[in-house]
Amino acid sequence: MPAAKTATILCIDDEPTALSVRRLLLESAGYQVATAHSGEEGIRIFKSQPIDAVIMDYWLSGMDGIEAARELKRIRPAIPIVVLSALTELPGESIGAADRWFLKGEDPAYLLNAISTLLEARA
Amino acid sequence: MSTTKGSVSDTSSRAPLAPWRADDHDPHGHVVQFYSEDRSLIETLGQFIGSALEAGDAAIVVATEAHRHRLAEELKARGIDAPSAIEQGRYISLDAVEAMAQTMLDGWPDETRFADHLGRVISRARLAAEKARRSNGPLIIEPRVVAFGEMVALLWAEGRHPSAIRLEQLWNDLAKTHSFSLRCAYPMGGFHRQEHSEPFLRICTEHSAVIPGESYTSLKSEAERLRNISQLQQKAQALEAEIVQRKEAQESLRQREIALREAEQNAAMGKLAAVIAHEINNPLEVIANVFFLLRDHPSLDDNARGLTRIAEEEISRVRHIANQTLAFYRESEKPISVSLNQVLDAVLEIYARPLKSQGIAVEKNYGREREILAYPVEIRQVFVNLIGNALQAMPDGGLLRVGIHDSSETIQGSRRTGLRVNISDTGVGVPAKYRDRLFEPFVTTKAEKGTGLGLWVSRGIVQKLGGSIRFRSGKIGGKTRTSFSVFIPTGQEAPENVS
Repeated sequence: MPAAKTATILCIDDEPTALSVRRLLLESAGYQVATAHSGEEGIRIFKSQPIDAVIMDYWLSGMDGIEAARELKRIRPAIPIVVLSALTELPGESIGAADRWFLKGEDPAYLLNAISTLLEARA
Repeated sequence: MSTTKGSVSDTSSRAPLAPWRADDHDPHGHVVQFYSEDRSLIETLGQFIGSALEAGDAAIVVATEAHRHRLAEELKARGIDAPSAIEQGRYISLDAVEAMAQTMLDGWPDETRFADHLGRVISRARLAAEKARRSNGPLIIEPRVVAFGEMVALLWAEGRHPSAIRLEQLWNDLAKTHSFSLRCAYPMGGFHRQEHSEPFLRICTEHSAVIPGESYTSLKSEAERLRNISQLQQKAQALEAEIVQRKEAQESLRQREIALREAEQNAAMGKLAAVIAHEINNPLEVIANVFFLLRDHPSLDDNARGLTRIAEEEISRVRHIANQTLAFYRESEKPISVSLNQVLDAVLEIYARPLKSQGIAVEKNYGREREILAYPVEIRQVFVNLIGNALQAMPDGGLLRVGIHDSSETIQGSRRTGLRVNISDTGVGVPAKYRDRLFEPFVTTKAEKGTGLGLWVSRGIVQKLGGSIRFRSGKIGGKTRTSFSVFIPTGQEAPENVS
């Protein structure tokens, strides 16, 4: 198993079912997974334990995904962040807040591939 | 029955005899006068009728009550003894409305009624004039008859244009059996619309002579009149040009209104699409993840795994159709600067797995970093579609070339500089039967695997950026090569010789 796959991924989503299935997906690919149900919780976890990458929902209740992503980048600029969105488009100014963004429902293999690439690039 | 030309002298001292007045003396003349002010009509009418009465001829007036009243005053001012002429019966003044009632049938000028009524009036006036002349001695010169008719102008004013022209024809028919000199008059203000041009011309052709409006007839010298004609020609030219400009402006406005309506519809569709996309894609992600996990789950036998793969393919179709269609309707936001290099790299990364598994080599030729103003999601969609198509065309491997270079293209008549992205594959090629229709919606070369929306959506996105998509597909050196070329203008206009 490559070193990148032992990495810990923080998943942030306010949809419990989506979050639990995404955790299973990432675990099946060999990652350790931490989960948070809001942007605020995600930031707390990020500050309290070693996180190698973040996958988060764009549309979160409370602090929105982009706001949270910007805060995470402020804390640690090198952290790879993938934003998932159910919308077919994102506001232009949001694009730079994440390293990658994916449309929800796309082939999960693309997401795993992107995470792997981002972690390898960071390593 | 005849009169001798020149036997009547124009006694008016108010205005000089203008060239067009010669027709007043034609016993068969049917002259039409156009006027702007009633005053002008009454003045020329006073001259026309007054000179006839003064010469002992007969005169008939068929006019509105107001005009008859003003004419009586005008004749009086000219020293014409109209009441005596009326008493003698050689001057007959009729109300136009009443005369119309007697000559029309079911709202249309009736030939028989007209000929009977007006024919009798003309004959009566002529006989009265002859009688009056005989009372002064032997009849040497037969009296002539002059008539003024305003029924046509009333019909025209009521918008009954065909009736007015028909009545003019009936006057002409009457002239074949009765000798009289006729004057008609229309206010020029009644011909203010462009569609009046044709009937106006018809009215003119129904007459033996035309007296233009007073702005022309009041001019004293030939030089002034020629100047006036030139001025009118210039005005006509300017008006015609203005009409053309106005029509163009109206058409442009109409087009903008259509575009605005479409934009409003698209905005409404965009909002709806965003909601639908959100509602579809959220559960779709969970379903896609679940089937991805099930795909190789050890508890499933081969049959069950086969079923999960079918489900995954169908999920992929749902995702594709939903996103392609919904992506087409977007809310307008400002485009931002997007690196084409990064977009293409991101798309190639998405396809990393199939590229590898299908044995497709990738040749990138980006050159320096190049940026365009675009909507990132949209422009990414274009290359997801084009590169995805290339992959599907090469199931057994091949070469995918992706290049960016500076270029220019003539778009709507102007040369634009910009960037060109070329994506070429060595796949199966585009069958000839699809080539003309490749960018139409629902046209697919991929049988049940394709939605036929990808290229249609892509072209729409590129066109919104002011660019274009072209493609070529054919055999080069025995190998099939298909190349899609996306041109995106960067805004500057280049000289024609830039290639």
